[in-house]
Amino acid sequence: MGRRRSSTFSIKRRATEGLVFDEFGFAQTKRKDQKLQHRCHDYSYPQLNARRVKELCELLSYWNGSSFICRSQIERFMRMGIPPALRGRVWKCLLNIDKLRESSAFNYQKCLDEIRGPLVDLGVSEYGIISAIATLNDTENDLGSNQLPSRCPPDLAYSSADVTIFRQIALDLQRSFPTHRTLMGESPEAIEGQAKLFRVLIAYAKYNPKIGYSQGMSYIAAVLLMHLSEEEAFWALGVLLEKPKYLSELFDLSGEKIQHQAMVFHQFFKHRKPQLSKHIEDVRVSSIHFVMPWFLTLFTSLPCWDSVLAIWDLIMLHGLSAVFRTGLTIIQLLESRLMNLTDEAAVLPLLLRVPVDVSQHCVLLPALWSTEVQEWEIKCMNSLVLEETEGHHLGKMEKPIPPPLPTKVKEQEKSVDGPKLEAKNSVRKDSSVSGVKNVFTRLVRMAQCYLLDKDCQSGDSKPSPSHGCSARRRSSKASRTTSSITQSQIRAKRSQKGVSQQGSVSQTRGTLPGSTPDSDGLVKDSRPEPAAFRRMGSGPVGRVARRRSSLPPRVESLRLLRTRTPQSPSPSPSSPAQTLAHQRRKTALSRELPSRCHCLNKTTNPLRNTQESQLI
Amino acid sequence: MAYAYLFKYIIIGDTGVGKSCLLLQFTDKRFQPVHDLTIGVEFGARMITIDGKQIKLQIWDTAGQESFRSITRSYYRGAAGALLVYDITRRDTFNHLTTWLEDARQHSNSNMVIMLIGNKSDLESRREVKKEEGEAFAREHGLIFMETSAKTASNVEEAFINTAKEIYEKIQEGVFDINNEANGIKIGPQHATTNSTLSGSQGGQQAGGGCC
Repeated sequence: MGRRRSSTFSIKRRATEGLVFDEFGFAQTKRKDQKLQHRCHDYSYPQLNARRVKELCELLSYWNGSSFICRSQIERFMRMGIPPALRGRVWKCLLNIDKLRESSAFNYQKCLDEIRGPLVDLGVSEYGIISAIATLNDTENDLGSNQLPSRCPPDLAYSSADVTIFRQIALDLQRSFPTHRTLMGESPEAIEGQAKLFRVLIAYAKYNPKIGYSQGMSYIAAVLLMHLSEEEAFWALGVLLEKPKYLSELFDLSGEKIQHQAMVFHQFFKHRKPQLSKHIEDVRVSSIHFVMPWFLTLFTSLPCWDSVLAIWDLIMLHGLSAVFRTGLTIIQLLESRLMNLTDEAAVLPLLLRVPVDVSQHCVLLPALWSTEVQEWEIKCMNSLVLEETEGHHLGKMEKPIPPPLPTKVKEQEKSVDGPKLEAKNSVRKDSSVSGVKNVFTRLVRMAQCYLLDKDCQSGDSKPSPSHGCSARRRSSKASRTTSSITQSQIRAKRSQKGVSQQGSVSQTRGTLPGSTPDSDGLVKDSRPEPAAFRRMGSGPVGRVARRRSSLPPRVESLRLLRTRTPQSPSPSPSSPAQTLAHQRRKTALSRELPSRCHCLNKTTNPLRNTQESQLI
Repeated sequence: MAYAYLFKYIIIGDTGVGKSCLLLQFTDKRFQPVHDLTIGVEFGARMITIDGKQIKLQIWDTAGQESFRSITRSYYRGAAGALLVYDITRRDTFNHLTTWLEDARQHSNSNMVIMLIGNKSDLESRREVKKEEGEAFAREHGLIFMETSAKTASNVEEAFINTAKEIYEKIQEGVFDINNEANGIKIGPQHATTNSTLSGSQGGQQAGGGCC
């Protein structure tokens, strides 16, 4: 599909201001302003034909969010391109906002009525944001000069915290999509748009004070308001920010969550693109620097709005994993350019202002669809990060993890000269392969612990007979994979975790259970390692790994893993408290893994399934 | 473009004090009240001339919101100069200077030149922080001080250039180890090892904004 100028479509003019808006409502600026307004107005998204549109409407009319068929159908439509006019309905269905609204005791309109009191007392109206900012500044100054930083006279309906949050939101309204028709300038449409955004954000801060308001949310709410009614946008924001599937692990008052997710992305990136991630590290760009703006505004800074919306479609369907997937896709598309840049001041701007040629729909979306990211992959990376941060907190008791690249390989790489390009490449490949193996080995250990834990608990969920059978038949030839951490180090980390982890944390973030300290304070590994490795070959992770086996390094790691020797059986957790903690984790895991396998099995082709069963 | 030195700057301060507007005024010579929120970091670059030498300023404009503070800290590394900005119409942005300064001192190299900037000097009628207070704070903490207006461009050039002069002087005195890039200074391709005194000719305006 070729590019088209959006002028062939519905362009709206705002005569009084002499502005022209494109079909998605973004102002088309004069050439001299283009540097500031980075939006591209050439869209390349595909158009759905009338028959398909009708089919999509039908699908939405009998929508059932828990139906696998519905979800796979909608994914099919997403590949073809959701028509802009139906996007709001699609999002509403996928987020299931009616369910949240019905089940919540919170009443949006009532909340707005309650907010009205403080706003009137403050002399602030959402219909005059500029004067509201000035008034709120003055009030804040007065509160400060009265030496009452946290308290106000009791007869007032607002607190100083209210003033701060009102002011912050008011300040950000004009800085979120400042060139969009519904938010730009002083037209009645923009005044109404800003007022809506103000109300949604204020109500959300009241609805969920734990998150309150933090920068980035105004962008998300504004996009929702472009497609949904005010109250629907509010509930959609609620679903997005609170469901673990979506963004509940991104926003908090302290900024810790986004930092954690940046580390998870870093691990994920390192695992998928070892060479590129090393290069980016070498030029001293940290993942947080580009992950934060990408994730917190859900890629709305990309210049091509049709791409942004298509990415959002996918996020609405798959949640946070689609955010990771998009991040990885963008980096992959920029790979050759990034590899040629050696300065952080060149690398970071490229990542922050992704060029049009990469972000246009006809380039970015096909790449995004062909980039596969599984939810379990991200959860495993999450566990890796948790393990590392906790390992880090343990202090100097443990030896530092040796660098992933064997120095020998590095030296080889240096010694190879210009014309021997092929040789150089192969060496590079080797080093990156060992890096992948490293991460993969650790990843496998995580997965192994998940599976094993599930295995240990007899009542909760029993392993299928075929798994056990395959385990017995598995060859007993010993072969070790390369690993960056010694067994004892891993055990020590695990033991710390096993004791300290709370059930609730493990449910959301995943843990690494399995070992218990003995009476001497030494660490005993309670996991029957070989059994778990055997499961690697036959269990869900193994299946997934086989399915993904087009990637040579992983196959290699897996092949090595499968040939490990069985050893001792597993003792059960020692104390009742530990048993309880184990049970909690297992429940969380047993809920997660089968569902993942279920989905994966469905997507795996029948022939491969047959092959697998024969193998088993 | 060839330059003798490259200085890395960082702009810090509370949200809404006008950091991005200052940067835009300096790099593009325009005031754009309506711009996107800074989430994370933005960049700008411009060439200036000091003592007949071309100096490239690479400026990192950071997010001011409290929850991003710990992330902003990672940008201090390798900065030669910092512009610490408050809003003269908002007392609390002035009150928060101490915590900003603590952050800056703790996470940057000890030689980093810090310029204190009271922005929005055009809003005299709504002034809440007296110029003397800013001066006193700067004196107390050993900072350079200036009141600016990103809107009228008053003192904006001077703020950036005076900071560069201070850094340049420190280089001449041998305070900065210019071979260590962690100090936020890079020697450019045009560098000539002359030891002439600082004459302080003001900035050429060759380069626009955007990035390198």
